[in-house]
Amino acid sequence: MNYPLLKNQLPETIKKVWIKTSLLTFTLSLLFGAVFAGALMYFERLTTIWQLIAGSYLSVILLIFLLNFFLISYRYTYFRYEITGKEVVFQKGFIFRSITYVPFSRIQHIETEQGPLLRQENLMELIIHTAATNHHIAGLSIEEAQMIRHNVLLKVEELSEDGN
Amino acid sequence: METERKKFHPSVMLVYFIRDLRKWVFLFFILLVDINDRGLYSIIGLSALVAFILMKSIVKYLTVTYDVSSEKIIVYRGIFKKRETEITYDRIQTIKQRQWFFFKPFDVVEVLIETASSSSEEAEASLTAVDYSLLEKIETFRNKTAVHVKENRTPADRSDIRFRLTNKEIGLYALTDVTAIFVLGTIFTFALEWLPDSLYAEIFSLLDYFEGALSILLPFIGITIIGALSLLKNYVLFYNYQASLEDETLTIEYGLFERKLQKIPLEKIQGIRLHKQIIRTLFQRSSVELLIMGGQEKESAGLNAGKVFLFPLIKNNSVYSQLTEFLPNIAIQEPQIQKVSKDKLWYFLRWTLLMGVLLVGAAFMVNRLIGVGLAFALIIALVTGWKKSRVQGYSVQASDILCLQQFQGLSTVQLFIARKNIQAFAQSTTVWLAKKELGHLKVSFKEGESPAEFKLLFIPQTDSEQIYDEFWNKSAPLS
Repeated sequence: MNYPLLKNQLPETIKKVWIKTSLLTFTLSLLFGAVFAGALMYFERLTTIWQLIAGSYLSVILLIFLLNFFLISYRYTYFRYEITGKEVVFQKGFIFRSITYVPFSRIQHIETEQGPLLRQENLMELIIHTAATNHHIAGLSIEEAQMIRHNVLLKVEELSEDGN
Repeated sequence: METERKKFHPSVMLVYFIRDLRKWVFLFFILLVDINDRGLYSIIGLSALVAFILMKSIVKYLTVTYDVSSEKIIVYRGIFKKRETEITYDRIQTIKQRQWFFFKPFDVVEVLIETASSSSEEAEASLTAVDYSLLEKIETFRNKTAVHVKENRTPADRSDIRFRLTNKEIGLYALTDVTAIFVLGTIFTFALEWLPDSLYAEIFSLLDYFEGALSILLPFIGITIIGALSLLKNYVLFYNYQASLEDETLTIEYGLFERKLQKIPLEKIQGIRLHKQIIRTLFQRSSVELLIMGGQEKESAGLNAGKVFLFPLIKNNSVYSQLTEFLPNIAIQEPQIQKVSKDKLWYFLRWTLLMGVLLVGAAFMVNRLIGVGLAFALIIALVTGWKKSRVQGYSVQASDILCLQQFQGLSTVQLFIARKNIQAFAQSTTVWLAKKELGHLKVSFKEGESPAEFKLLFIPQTDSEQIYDEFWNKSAPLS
């Protein structure tokens, strides 16, 4: 299939983070459902309707988990980004694909975030804000995130000094 | 530090009262047409509400104070939790003024001060009723801090670029206002719910009395009421509408009971939306709406809330020339729209058809009347889909301006936006659409306080690429 991909990919270790995240979310949702169902059972309110609701809840979280889990390498392969001379470009997806262009001069501020799972892998999330949109790069090595942030801010500054 | 805290002019109580009344109007309606027709409770409830609002207005008058000094403007609010809003002159973006008709004898205006703050709540400070001379005082203080030097201008320049809405035009605007029908429709269904049964009985006996004649007349009466209400609303809103350009600042002035004046610096205008509503097209008229960054005008009346019109109604043949005069910084020309989805009808209809046919089928099983109603809705949705596919298009204009055209509601809408005001440009498609070389295009920009976007759907990738090459990625650097 003729679908050109951009240059930069996220680091491999992000897959680990995604696996952990999806497992964790699944476990927590399962726990929540179990506690709720347990409470209903304890108070003897587990009627047919509640059983149905519990069944559909379980299937929904299972489905979400499976989708999340098995699409990790798909997500990994098709999430790309590139920093060109004047803009940051984001590419997402293959089945539903999109390319977004954000010029440096529109960038309002850049945010970095690091949760415990990302910290374990020494990764950081980078969020680029414009006046109207937000763009996430889910995980970058700390050096890389800081380098990108630095470079982008440098370009933003250059542009604004030119009077843009 | 010496402070001089002042209260607003006492007429402010009336403003508070009217505004609160507006907020509670819904409750009034319910109380007025009480379901069980127990008059006494309604009257007690109603008077309690009025008394409460009255008290609130008085307390607010007594507790809100302001102080205008040469460095800043401070507004103090609150009884228990005191709040102070402090605005220094260099942070002021625009100053708007409003004048209620009962302000006039006292020479009082409401001054709205807008700053570039990011949260909409804090963006504006209102000096709700102050002496007119204060406005001049503020302007003087502000100009002292402002760095820019005002250009000399002759009085002749000032009257050159001016737009007025005649009473006849307001009438035409009101009578072609389709939203009025929806408003009345809502009121009507609401009335059906809440009106007492006894009233129905009376209406029906009246109908019997006049036999069939009245039932034929009824739709006409309905249309007349809609027309009259719409006329009333729009005359109150748009009375003596004027727009003028002076010193790189647009001034828009309108309103009957509450006269509003809004000054918009040209650089704050992100772009425009040109609405060609289908009924107004019959009269060769269109409307021009401004896209403005920052917290402009939120509480304006009715369904037009949040919209700032430059020309509420203008002749089609003069719209582009007027736009060039009014917005010299956005060089808008009459676009040669390149239609992009004329032969892509199927994509606009497929989901509607699939869902619609299933729904209508199911509805017919349940109830024939619901089935007919849904079938009618489906036909409207399909016609809209057809119209969407016919209208979508674009035009890349000189000076880095992009025009995108789409069908929204009952209007053909043209968005004109300069490249520098587009925050992000996105192309998307799916693996199946890609095989047919189709995709979507989206531009994101900022309107008011919130993000906005404009999309072209199911367009050939060649067109998408052309917009990218000729407009977005043009060799001229973005800086």
